[in-house]
Amino acid sequence: MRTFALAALLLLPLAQGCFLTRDTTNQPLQEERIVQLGPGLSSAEVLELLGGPMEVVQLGRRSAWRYDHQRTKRTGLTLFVVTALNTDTQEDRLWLFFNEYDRLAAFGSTLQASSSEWVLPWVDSHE
Amino acid sequence: MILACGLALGASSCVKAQYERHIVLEPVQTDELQHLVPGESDLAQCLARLGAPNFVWERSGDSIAIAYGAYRHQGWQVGASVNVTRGVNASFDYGELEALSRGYVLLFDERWKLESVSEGLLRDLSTKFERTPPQSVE
Repeated sequence: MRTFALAALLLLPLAQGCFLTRDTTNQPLQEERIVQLGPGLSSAEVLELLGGPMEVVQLGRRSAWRYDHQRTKRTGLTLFVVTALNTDTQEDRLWLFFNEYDRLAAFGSTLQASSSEWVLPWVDSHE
Repeated sequence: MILACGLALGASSCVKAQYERHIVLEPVQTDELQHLVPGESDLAQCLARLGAPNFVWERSGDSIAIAYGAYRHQGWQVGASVNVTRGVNASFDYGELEALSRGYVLLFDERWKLESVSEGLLRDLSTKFERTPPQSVE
Protein backbone atom coordinates (compact mmCIF):
# COMPACT_ATOMS: atom_id res chain seq x y z
CA MET A 1 0.00 0.00 0.00
CA ARG A 2 2.84 2.32 0.89
CA THR A 3 4.43 1.64 -2.52
CA PHE A 4 1.25 2.63 -4.35
CA ALA A 5 0.96 5.81 -2.32
CA LEU A 6 4.56 6.67 -3.16
CA ALA A 7 3.93 5.99 -6.87
CA ALA A 8 0.86 8.20 -6.78
CA LEU A 9 2.85 11.03 -5.20
CA LEU A 10 5.60 10.71 -7.79
CA LEU A 11 3.12 10.75 -10.70
CA LEU A 12 1.07 13.63 -9.35
CA PRO A 13 3.27 16.45 -10.72
CA LEU A 14 3.18 14.82 -14.17
CA ALA A 15 -0.59 14.63 -14.28
CA GLN A 16 -1.45 18.31 -14.38
CA GLY A 17 -0.54 21.37 -16.31
CA CYS A 18 -1.81 24.53 -17.88
CA PHE A 19 -1.03 26.69 -20.86
CA LEU A 20 -1.86 30.01 -22.46
CA THR A 21 -1.22 30.65 -26.14
CA ARG A 22 -1.85 33.51 -28.52
CA ASP A 23 -1.97 33.36 -32.32
CA THR A 24 -2.26 36.41 -34.52
CA THR A 25 -2.81 36.86 -38.24
CA ASN A 26 -1.76 40.09 -39.97
CA GLN A 27 -1.14 43.40 -38.28
CA PRO A 28 -3.88 45.11 -36.21
CA LEU A 29 -5.92 47.63 -38.20
CA GLN A 30 -5.08 51.20 -37.22
CA GLU A 31 -8.12 53.25 -36.30
CA GLU A 32 -6.29 56.51 -36.94
CA ARG A 33 -5.93 55.47 -40.58
CA ILE A 34 -9.49 54.24 -40.93
CA VAL A 35 -10.88 57.61 -39.82
CA GLN A 36 -9.05 59.19 -42.76
CA LEU A 37 -11.18 57.19 -45.19
CA GLY A 38 -14.06 58.92 -46.92
CA PRO A 39 -16.27 58.56 -49.97
CA GLY A 40 -14.55 59.63 -53.18
CA LEU A 41 -11.03 58.49 -52.31
CA SER A 42 -9.33 56.75 -55.22
CA SER A 43 -8.08 53.20 -54.91
CA ALA A 44 -4.52 54.53 -55.27
CA GLU A 45 -5.04 56.86 -52.30
CA VAL A 46 -6.44 53.97 -50.27
CA LEU A 47 -3.44 51.82 -51.18
CA GLU A 48 -1.11 54.54 -49.99
CA LEU A 49 -3.02 54.86 -46.72
CA LEU A 50 -3.62 51.20 -45.87
CA GLY A 51 -1.35 49.12 -48.08
CA GLY A 52 -2.53 46.13 -50.08
CA PRO A 53 -5.75 44.34 -49.12
CA MET A 54 -5.96 40.68 -48.14
CA GLU A 55 -8.77 39.96 -50.58
CA VAL A 56 -10.35 41.62 -53.60
CA VAL A 57 -13.86 40.66 -54.66
CA GLN A 58 -14.87 41.73 -58.15
CA LEU A 59 -18.47 42.98 -58.19
CA GLY A 60 -19.16 43.41 -61.87
CA ARG A 61 -17.54 46.73 -62.81
CA ARG A 62 -17.08 47.50 -59.13
CA SER A 63 -14.98 45.86 -56.43
CA ALA A 64 -14.64 45.34 -52.69
CA TRP A 65 -11.42 45.07 -50.70
CA ARG A 66 -10.97 43.30 -47.37
CA TYR A 67 -8.40 44.06 -44.66
CA ASP A 68 -8.33 41.90 -41.53
CA HIS A 69 -6.44 40.92 -38.42
CA GLN A 70 -7.30 37.95 -36.18
CA ARG A 71 -6.25 37.23 -32.62
CA THR A 72 -6.85 33.84 -30.99
CA LYS A 73 -6.22 33.18 -27.31
CA ARG A 74 -6.30 29.64 -25.93
CA THR A 75 -6.45 28.65 -22.31
CA GLY A 76 -5.91 25.08 -21.18
CA LEU A 77 -5.92 23.36 -17.83
CA THR A 78 -5.31 19.65 -17.27
CA LEU A 79 -5.92 17.78 -14.04
CA PHE A 80 -5.20 14.05 -14.30
CA VAL A 81 -7.27 12.91 -17.30
CA VAL A 82 -9.54 15.95 -17.56
CA THR A 83 -8.64 18.91 -19.75
CA ALA A 84 -10.52 22.19 -19.95
CA LEU A 85 -9.85 24.19 -23.08
CA ASN A 86 -11.11 27.59 -24.18
CA THR A 87 -10.42 29.15 -27.58
CA ASP A 88 -11.44 32.74 -28.23
CA THR A 89 -10.98 34.22 -31.71
CA GLN A 90 -11.78 37.85 -32.41
CA GLU A 91 -11.10 39.97 -35.44
CA ASP A 92 -10.51 43.44 -36.84
CA ARG A 93 -12.16 43.80 -40.26
CA LEU A 94 -12.44 46.53 -42.83
CA TRP A 95 -14.33 46.26 -46.12
CA LEU A 96 -14.05 48.96 -48.76
CA PHE A 97 -16.45 49.18 -51.71
CA PHE A 98 -15.30 50.95 -54.88
CA ASN A 99 -17.58 52.14 -57.68
CA GLU A 100 -16.97 51.64 -61.40
CA TYR A 101 -14.71 54.73 -61.41
CA ASP A 102 -12.45 53.20 -58.77
CA ARG A 103 -13.64 55.65 -56.14
CA LEU A 104 -14.54 54.65 -52.59
CA ALA A 105 -18.33 54.47 -52.34
CA ALA A 106 -18.87 52.82 -48.95
CA PHE A 107 -16.87 51.19 -46.19
CA GLY A 108 -17.40 49.49 -42.85
CA SER A 109 -15.04 48.56 -40.05
CA THR A 110 -15.25 46.30 -36.99
CA LEU A 111 -12.40 46.40 -34.49
CA GLN A 112 -12.76 43.57 -31.96
CA ALA A 113 -9.48 41.65 -32.05
CA SER A 114 -8.29 43.21 -28.80
CA SER A 115 -11.33 41.79 -26.97
CA SER A 116 -10.03 38.21 -27.28
CA GLU A 117 -9.59 36.78 -23.78
CA TRP A 118 -7.73 34.11 -21.86
CA VAL A 119 -10.45 32.54 -19.73
CA LEU A 120 -11.44 29.03 -18.70
CA PRO A 121 -14.45 27.58 -20.55
CA TRP A 122 -16.90 27.92 -17.68
CA VAL A 123 -16.19 31.63 -17.22
CA ASP A 124 -18.60 34.02 -18.96
CA SER A 125 -16.95 35.71 -21.89
CA HIS A 126 -18.35 38.17 -24.45
CA GLU A 127 -21.82 37.70 -22.97
CA MET B 1 -4.22 0.53 -6.59
CA ILE B 2 -7.09 2.24 -8.46
CA LEU B 3 -5.61 5.64 -7.73
CA ALA B 4 -2.19 4.59 -9.01
CA CYS B 5 -3.70 3.14 -12.20
CA GLY B 6 -5.72 6.30 -12.76
CA LEU B 7 -2.69 8.48 -12.27
CA ALA B 8 -0.59 6.33 -14.57
CA LEU B 9 -3.19 6.53 -17.33
CA GLY B 10 -3.50 10.23 -16.85
CA ALA B 11 0.21 10.85 -16.85
CA SER B 12 0.68 8.94 -20.09
CA SER B 13 -2.33 10.63 -21.72
CA CYS B 14 -3.86 7.27 -22.72
CA VAL B 15 -7.34 8.44 -21.88
CA LYS B 16 -8.77 11.89 -21.74
CA ALA B 17 -11.92 13.81 -21.07
CA GLN B 18 -11.87 17.27 -22.52
CA TYR B 19 -14.31 20.10 -21.99
CA GLU B 20 -13.91 22.58 -24.83
CA ARG B 21 -15.41 25.93 -25.66
CA HIS B 22 -14.76 27.74 -28.93
CA ILE B 23 -15.80 31.35 -29.40
CA VAL B 24 -15.38 32.70 -32.91
CA LEU B 25 -16.23 36.36 -33.45
CA GLU B 26 -19.10 38.36 -32.05
CA PRO B 27 -22.60 38.32 -33.57
CA VAL B 28 -24.03 41.56 -34.92
CA GLN B 29 -26.37 43.54 -32.71
CA THR B 30 -29.87 42.45 -33.70
CA ASP B 31 -31.39 45.76 -32.60
CA GLU B 32 -29.31 47.50 -35.27
CA LEU B 33 -31.01 45.37 -37.94
CA GLN B 34 -34.37 46.89 -37.07
CA HIS B 35 -33.16 50.25 -38.38
CA LEU B 36 -32.55 48.84 -41.86
CA VAL B 37 -35.40 49.17 -44.34
CA PRO B 38 -35.48 47.15 -47.58
CA GLY B 39 -35.90 49.46 -50.56
CA GLU B 40 -34.66 52.48 -48.60
CA SER B 41 -31.42 51.71 -46.77
CA ASP B 42 -28.28 51.68 -48.88
CA LEU B 43 -25.02 49.81 -48.46
CA ALA B 44 -23.24 52.67 -46.66
CA GLN B 45 -26.05 52.93 -44.10
CA CYS B 46 -26.00 49.19 -43.47
CA LEU B 47 -22.22 49.18 -43.00
CA ALA B 48 -22.46 52.13 -40.63
CA ARG B 49 -25.01 50.22 -38.51
CA LEU B 50 -23.52 46.74 -38.58
CA GLY B 51 -19.80 47.27 -39.16
CA ALA B 52 -17.71 45.28 -41.59
CA PRO B 53 -19.28 42.06 -42.87
CA ASN B 54 -17.52 38.71 -42.77
CA PHE B 55 -18.26 37.95 -46.41
CA VAL B 56 -18.98 39.90 -49.59
CA TRP B 57 -20.33 37.98 -52.56
CA GLU B 58 -21.13 38.96 -56.12
CA ARG B 59 -24.58 38.05 -57.41
CA SER B 60 -25.82 38.12 -60.94
CA GLY B 61 -26.57 41.48 -62.58
CA ASP B 62 -24.19 43.69 -60.55
CA SER B 63 -26.10 42.99 -57.35
CA ILE B 64 -24.27 41.87 -54.21
CA ALA B 65 -24.71 40.04 -50.92
CA ILE B 66 -22.95 40.62 -47.63
CA ALA B 67 -22.99 38.29 -44.64
CA TYR B 68 -22.40 38.54 -40.91
CA GLY B 69 -21.78 35.45 -38.83
CA ALA B 70 -20.30 34.16 -35.60
CA TYR B 71 -20.39 30.91 -33.67
CA ARG B 72 -19.64 29.41 -30.32
CA HIS B 73 -19.90 25.84 -29.22
CA GLN B 74 -18.95 23.93 -26.13
CA GLY B 75 -19.12 20.39 -24.86
CA TRP B 76 -17.37 17.32 -23.63
CA GLN B 77 -15.13 15.02 -25.60
CA VAL B 78 -14.22 11.69 -24.05
CA GLY B 79 -11.89 9.17 -25.64
CA ALA B 80 -8.46 7.67 -25.96
CA SER B 81 -5.53 9.54 -27.37
CA VAL B 82 -1.77 9.58 -27.28
CA ASN B 83 -1.60 13.34 -27.54
CA VAL B 84 -4.00 15.63 -25.74
CA THR B 85 -3.34 18.51 -28.13
CA ARG B 86 -4.19 16.56 -31.28
CA GLY B 87 -7.14 17.98 -33.15
CA VAL B 88 -6.91 21.37 -31.51
CA ASN B 89 -6.69 23.89 -34.30
CA ALA B 90 -6.76 27.52 -33.28
CA SER B 91 -6.12 28.98 -36.71
CA PHE B 92 -8.86 31.11 -38.16
CA ASP B 93 -10.57 29.68 -41.23
CA TYR B 94 -13.12 31.55 -43.34
CA GLY B 95 -14.44 28.28 -44.78
CA GLU B 96 -15.16 26.99 -41.30
CA LEU B 97 -16.73 30.30 -40.37
CA GLU B 98 -19.16 30.07 -43.28
CA ALA B 99 -19.93 26.41 -42.59
CA LEU B 100 -20.62 26.74 -38.87
CA SER B 101 -21.93 30.26 -38.40
CA ARG B 102 -25.42 31.45 -37.84
CA GLY B 103 -26.01 35.01 -38.86
CA TYR B 104 -27.51 37.28 -41.46
CA VAL B 105 -27.25 37.67 -45.22
CA LEU B 106 -28.20 41.04 -46.68
CA LEU B 107 -29.02 41.22 -50.39
CA PHE B 108 -28.51 44.45 -52.33
CA ASP B 109 -29.71 45.34 -55.82
CA GLU B 110 -27.54 46.73 -58.62
CA ARG B 111 -27.73 50.24 -57.07
CA TRP B 112 -26.61 48.76 -53.75
CA LYS B 113 -30.00 49.37 -52.14
CA LEU B 114 -31.06 46.82 -49.53
CA GLU B 115 -33.43 44.18 -50.94
CA SER B 116 -33.80 41.76 -48.04
CA VAL B 117 -32.34 40.43 -44.80
CA SER B 118 -32.27 36.68 -44.10
CA GLU B 119 -31.33 34.90 -40.88
CA GLY B 120 -29.97 31.39 -40.53
CA LEU B 121 -26.94 29.22 -41.16
CA LEU B 122 -24.64 31.10 -43.54
CA ARG B 123 -23.86 27.96 -45.54
CA ASP B 124 -27.56 27.52 -46.27
CA LEU B 125 -28.25 31.17 -46.98
CA SER B 126 -25.24 31.49 -49.29
CA THR B 127 -26.47 28.73 -51.60
CA LYS B 128 -29.65 30.60 -52.46
CA PHE B 129 -27.99 32.88 -55.01
CA GLU B 130 -25.29 32.57 -57.64
CA ARG B 131 -21.89 33.88 -56.61
CA THR B 132 -18.36 33.94 -57.95
CA PRO B 133 -15.29 32.82 -55.96
CA PRO B 134 -13.01 35.50 -54.45
CA GLN B 135 -9.66 36.40 -56.00
CA SER B 136 -6.56 36.29 -53.82
CA VAL B 137 -4.09 39.16 -53.93
CA GLU B 138 -0.46 38.09 -54.03
